[in-house]
Amino acid sequence: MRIIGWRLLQGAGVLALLAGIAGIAVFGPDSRFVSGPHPIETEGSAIVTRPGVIAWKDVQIEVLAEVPGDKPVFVGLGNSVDVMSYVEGTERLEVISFEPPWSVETSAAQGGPALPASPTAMDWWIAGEGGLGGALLQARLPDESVSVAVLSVGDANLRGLTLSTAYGIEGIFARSIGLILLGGAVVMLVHLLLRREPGEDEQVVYVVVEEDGSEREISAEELEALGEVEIIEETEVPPGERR
Amino acid sequence: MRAATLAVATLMVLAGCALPGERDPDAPVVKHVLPDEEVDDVVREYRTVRGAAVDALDPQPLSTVETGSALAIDTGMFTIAEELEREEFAFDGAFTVEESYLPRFSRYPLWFATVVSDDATGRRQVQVFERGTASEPWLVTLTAEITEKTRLPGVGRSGDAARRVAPDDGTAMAGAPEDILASLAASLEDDEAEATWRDDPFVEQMAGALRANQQLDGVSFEQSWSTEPEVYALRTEDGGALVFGTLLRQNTFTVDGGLRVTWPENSPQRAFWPDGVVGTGSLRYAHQLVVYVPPDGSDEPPRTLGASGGVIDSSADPN
Repeated sequence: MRIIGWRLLQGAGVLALLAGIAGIAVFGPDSRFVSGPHPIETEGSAIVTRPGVIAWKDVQIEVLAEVPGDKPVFVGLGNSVDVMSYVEGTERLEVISFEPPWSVETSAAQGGPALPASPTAMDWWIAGEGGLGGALLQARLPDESVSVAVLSVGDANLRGLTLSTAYGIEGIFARSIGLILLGGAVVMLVHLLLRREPGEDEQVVYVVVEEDGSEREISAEELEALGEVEIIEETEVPPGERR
Repeated sequence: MRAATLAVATLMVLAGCALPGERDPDAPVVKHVLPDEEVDDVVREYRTVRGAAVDALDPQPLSTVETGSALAIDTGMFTIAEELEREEFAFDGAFTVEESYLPRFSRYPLWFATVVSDDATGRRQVQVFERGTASEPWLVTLTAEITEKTRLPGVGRSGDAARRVAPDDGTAMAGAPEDILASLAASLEDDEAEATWRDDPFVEQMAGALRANQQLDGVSFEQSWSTEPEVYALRTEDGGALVFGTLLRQNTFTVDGGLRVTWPENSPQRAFWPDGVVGTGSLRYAHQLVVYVPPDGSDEPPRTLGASGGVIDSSADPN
């Protein structure tokens, strides 16, 4: 049973090692996974993710919205109750499902051509950024229902919009290296330990000391045939070594 | 094996810290109405704007911080103050938010209630702030004064949010919040108040005003009561409810033929009808109330805990 425990630990070490390698391969040294730019076809002034589409928390996200010319654009992250109320009366594109890196389903919703007020004047954005020709949202997803909105500002629209996204986990690169080092160390240590431990295939060797002081190896049957013997010494010899 | 266990635990912690979590897909889409630390800012903004409006007796800025009957009462108050050259107190100095009741919502409109005391005067007001949509500001929809000694019942909580009661939900209570207000209005309309409300301080105060109006010589007086549809309610810890709502009162004075009736210098009637009334004159009042509704099985009747009000409209018909 002891050996099974050590093997399980070694397996965990291998898993950690593989997870670390995967983390480095996917996220890279900047701990981000980037996708885009992806063109979005819309003539409207708002794109929002429906409640529930963003299903993760504690993920660092970046959304870069770029529009041709120097059109003003805003990207914001807000509680879905706020965001959906804000765009309710506006013609918009709603993202109804999203799978990273970039698998998007959208649905058009009817409404007026303009937003009810400038997005930059709203006080409930969890994070938001505006700019001319482009805007970059950087935020950590909280543990609440949130929506991302890409909005035009003023009389502009979102024609020609492209979106790039990035997902990051804070410190994933350093943690991946940590996993590789720790996993590798565990695998190696267990391997060395198991090499030293006698297992179920333990071999017992009997050695007889003759009267002239010479030693001779005998079998278990020969030992039994000798009858009563005086045991002078018991020695454990690591596997692979001969006395 | 202790070393092995420690190593496994370290691996799990290291891996777990690095992984993001998936939200519960069945978690409801809700919003906590407002972070507690932002309540003071909302109250301060309201008092600043209202204070400036009161100082100038200009109702225009009020519409950016008040709505509904709260706005109508203050606008009426400005008319009276202007006509009677009376100075109104602004409530724009230092204040203390004694209590905030902050519910959760799955959609707009959002609202919350506070108990605010004015540090200079010690006067205490229960105020309800409402936000109709995400693009609108917080507006006061109800203000009711409570006395220094009034203690509001504890409000039930679900997590860190105050629990709401739907206006039409009377489950396990003396009545639904809107029904309780309707019963109060009905008892005020009737000279013989329902036994439930007979000893209520607000009912007694209104009964006194009714008797005074009925005693005017040469004038026949009629009074009617109704309720406004906007009702807000919170679940109290004992299973009852704290209800915030508005009653509307219409006083109609019909002056006997050939007579002109004038009112005393400081009365609201004087402000709206400086030359008195010939024929018929009506004044409409709004009374904003805080009402406690006890749970089923309680010996206590429903009762008003606070009130504020004033004239919101007038009309006169000489024929």
